[in-house]
Amino acid sequence: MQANAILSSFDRTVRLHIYRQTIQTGRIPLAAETARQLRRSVPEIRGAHRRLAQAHALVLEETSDEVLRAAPFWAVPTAFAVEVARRSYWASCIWDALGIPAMLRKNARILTGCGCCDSPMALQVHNGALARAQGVIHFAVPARRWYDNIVFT
Amino acid sequence: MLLFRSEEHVTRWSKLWKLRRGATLSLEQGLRLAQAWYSDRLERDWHPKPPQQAEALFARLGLRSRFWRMSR
Repeated sequence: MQANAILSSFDRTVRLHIYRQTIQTGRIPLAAETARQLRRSVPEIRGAHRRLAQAHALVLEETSDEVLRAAPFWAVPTAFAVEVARRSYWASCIWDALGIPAMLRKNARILTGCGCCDSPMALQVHNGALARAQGVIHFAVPARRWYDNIVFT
Repeated sequence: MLLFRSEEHVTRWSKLWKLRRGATLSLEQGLRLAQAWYSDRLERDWHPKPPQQAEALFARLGLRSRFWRMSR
């Protein structure tokens, strides 16, 4: 499936459900949870996961069909914690960390560290703008190679 | 995509890991990019951006160098 493929109605439902659940709970749901909530079978949900991953709409864990990344959310703890109201989310990089308040249109606090010296860095996004803006973002991988190894990117 | 205290820290990190420096953005540019990239993600009809659409988005934000081209 191409990155610009049209997603089926079922795959759109699964994708949106994953996002709604993650927003609500702070955690990307497992295939079994999505299956139960949507009243479908686990193989059906895993199939949707795979098609969505082929379309670059999700990233799956290497050893399973579980969702690792529903951008800008990441399924496991990372160096980028994003606090929105009383909920906390994980992002895989600073772009995605900034993407969480951008997508939710909410204020947020981003807690991370310098990529070089790991000294703590905190950012505040308030009303769509950065309240504390110190630092510089570095993209190591050119855009054309982002999907060669999306985890490294 | 990592956050660094300064350009100097990017240089130090690149040397440490023997990596070529990529592209750097200010935090404000990064936030604008995140807003442009993710603003429609919760729409039911969202689909991954084709390369030309992604490049057009980057260009609107002033990111026009070869680094930001999606085509090989």
